[in-house]
Amino acid sequence: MRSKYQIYLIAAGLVILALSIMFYKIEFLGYSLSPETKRSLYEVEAKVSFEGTGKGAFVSLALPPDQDGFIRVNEDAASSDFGFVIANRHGTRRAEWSRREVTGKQTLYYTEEILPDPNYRAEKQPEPVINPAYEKLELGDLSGKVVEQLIREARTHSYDDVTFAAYLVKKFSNKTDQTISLIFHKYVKNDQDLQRAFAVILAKADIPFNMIEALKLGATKRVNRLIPMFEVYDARKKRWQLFDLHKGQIDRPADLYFWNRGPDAVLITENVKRPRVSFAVTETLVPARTATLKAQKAQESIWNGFSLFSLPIDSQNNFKRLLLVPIGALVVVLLRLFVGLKTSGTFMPVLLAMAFAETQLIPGIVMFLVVVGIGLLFRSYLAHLNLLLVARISAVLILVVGIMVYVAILSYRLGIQESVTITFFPMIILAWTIERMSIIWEEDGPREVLKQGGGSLIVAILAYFAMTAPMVGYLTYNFPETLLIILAIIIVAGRYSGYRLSELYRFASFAKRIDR
Amino acid sequence: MTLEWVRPSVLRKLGILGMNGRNVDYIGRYNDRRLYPLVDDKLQTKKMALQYEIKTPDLLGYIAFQSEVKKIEEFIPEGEGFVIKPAQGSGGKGILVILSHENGKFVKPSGEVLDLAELRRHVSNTLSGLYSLGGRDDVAVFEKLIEFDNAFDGFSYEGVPDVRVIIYRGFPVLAMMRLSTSTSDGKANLHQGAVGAGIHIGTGKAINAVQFDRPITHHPDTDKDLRTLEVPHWDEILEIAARAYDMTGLGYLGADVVLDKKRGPMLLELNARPGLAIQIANNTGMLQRFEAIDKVANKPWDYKKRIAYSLEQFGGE
Repeated sequence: MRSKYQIYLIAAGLVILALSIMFYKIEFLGYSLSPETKRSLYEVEAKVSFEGTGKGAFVSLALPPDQDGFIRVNEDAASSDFGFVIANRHGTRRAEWSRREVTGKQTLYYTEEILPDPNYRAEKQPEPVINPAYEKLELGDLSGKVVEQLIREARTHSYDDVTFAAYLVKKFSNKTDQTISLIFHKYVKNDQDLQRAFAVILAKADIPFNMIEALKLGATKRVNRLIPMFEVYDARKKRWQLFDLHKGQIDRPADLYFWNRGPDAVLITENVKRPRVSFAVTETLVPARTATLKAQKAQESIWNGFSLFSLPIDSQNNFKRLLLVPIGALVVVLLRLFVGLKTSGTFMPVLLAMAFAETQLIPGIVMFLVVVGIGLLFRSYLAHLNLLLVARISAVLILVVGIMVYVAILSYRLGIQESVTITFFPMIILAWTIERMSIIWEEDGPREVLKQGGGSLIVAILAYFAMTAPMVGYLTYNFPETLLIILAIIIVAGRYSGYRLSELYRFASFAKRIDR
Repeated sequence: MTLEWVRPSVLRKLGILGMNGRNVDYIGRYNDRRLYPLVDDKLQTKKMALQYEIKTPDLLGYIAFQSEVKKIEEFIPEGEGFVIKPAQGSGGKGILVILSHENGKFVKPSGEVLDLAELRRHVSNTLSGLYSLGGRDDVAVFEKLIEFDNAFDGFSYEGVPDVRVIIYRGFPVLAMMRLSTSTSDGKANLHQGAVGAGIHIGTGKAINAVQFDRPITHHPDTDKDLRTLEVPHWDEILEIAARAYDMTGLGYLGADVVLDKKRGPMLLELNARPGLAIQIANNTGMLQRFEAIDKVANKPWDYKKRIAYSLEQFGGE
């Protein structure tokens, strides 16, 4: 009895393990339990256009940093005839194109595909120190005195860096204030200038901060503008606090994608005229699985190395089929142990079901009956030839191949296209089935042949339905750990010592007779 | 044929053993897999029986290699019937009974005549594993044909009847006479259509008979009243069966015993996976009997004491 508990323990362990892996994959790797779920995938295109001046041109575009909530799955830069590098300046990635003697209109593209994932955490956050590059920032000829006065005022109205910045934003929204209105009048024409004004003050006040240009991904728009913002390091919460230039302290919306996070401008150029950068965002809904696959590839997750998706496509397809075999085995186990069906050869029905999956059910059954029928006739003749077993089975095998060829040709001529798929039948198994059936016929009579042949066919058909159910295929392929659950079921079923369904019939009259 | 059903609770109440229960609770628990070759290989069983001085049918010889198939005649006894069987066969597969032979014509119990070439083919098939468990290479065993006891005249059609005794942990539990019919082609296997007649453990007399799991009263071919069947040498048969446990150590065992006219009861073969139809033939489930045995199975009794206990428990009316 102890071994019985051991079995339940092992089975429970397997199920828990499988469920935990599945939970992990769903919760953290973005897998989905159902094939219908779609996820958004954004393609963001930055288009830089300019006119050449006939001299050597240099264009530098800020690139999005690694950031929380977004996985970059792909990036690409189209740069005809330009030299292209990705450089790091002041801690920011930049795409840099350069070429000698540029004339006329030029367009450069940088695109990337990003996948929003609320669980994704960037590997590195910006250091909570002030970037020295900010100290060189100036806002026209705005005097240090005005700045210092603003800093003093903000200091008295705040108790830390975040509240300092919050006060500053609030102060700037009050246009009736004399100082502010002067600043606006003289220096601030647009949000870029406003952002710069805040940057100058924060840098002067020695507060760790970053200038940010962000893209709103939410709605698919042809052309999106970058929104200038900034962030201040919250030393208490040990994280960066985002600020809207007008609303002040805000929580970062899930669809806000930082394009530039640092002291340098988004676009820096040399020797070009009318430089312009514009952004286009396209949202596509992709099956969650595709999205997950892309994310894994980009993320180099530990699971990536063990995932089936890391295999070449054609072997993936093989594994798709392979992973269904345990489902067939499960059907065999259940039907044999709980129902009590007899099959000829334990796993022959599974192979038959796999063949049916390729040929479709009805043509498959017809072909199976035709091949086995002809095979049995031929085999009864072979019996007279007094051949050794191996030779006889080989002869049957050749016959099976022959039947397959002729069935295919004949029915193709008759216009039945499906027959060509007959090649998917497992020939060796068919040959053995024929041999075994003919022995059973000789030894136990046609009754037993019908019983075992029919049993095999029923099991094969049920296994076929189980194996071709789309949900089953999806689960086994995306969550191969379901195999552990199947294993657990089979292990437990292996200790089932109760009656089989067929025995309730077999012993019925007997039991009624003695039950008095 | 109407479909009749019975609830599992009824089967449980009647102590009827099912296939899964047999495999998990009895074969799985009491039959050590290492010991299987002792019963799956009939040559080994024979050698062991010799050691224990248990009678078995006379061995004429055996063929283990295809090259020896030519020499098949060496093993054929002059003017006498014989049996060729695969040493590792199961379910009666591949057993060829020759009643008599003359001038290279071999007569099967059905009256069918084979020639030497067909005999050779059968042996060669046997060697290549056609009849053996898992298709393993096998050995063809030649045995002297048993002249079965007159007590069975008319009870069996074209074949050797034998007594199957179920031995549980060394105790005889149930017994049944297996009588061949025309349907079973002279073979004593119930699933091939042989008649199973339940035999009372205490008296050796028939209780009830079944064919294809359904009760019958008369032999389908000879029309003999099966209830008049009485097995002679009953004590000896129980002894052979009970000692088979000491010989093999298998806790759930079927011992097949044949009765030869001259030599009396002989051990034909042993089976580590005996079937369940014996319950139907005996009109009783096995489980209550197993429980009665489990109470005393740990006592260091010899086979005589074990038989006595079985007789006391199951031998009454």
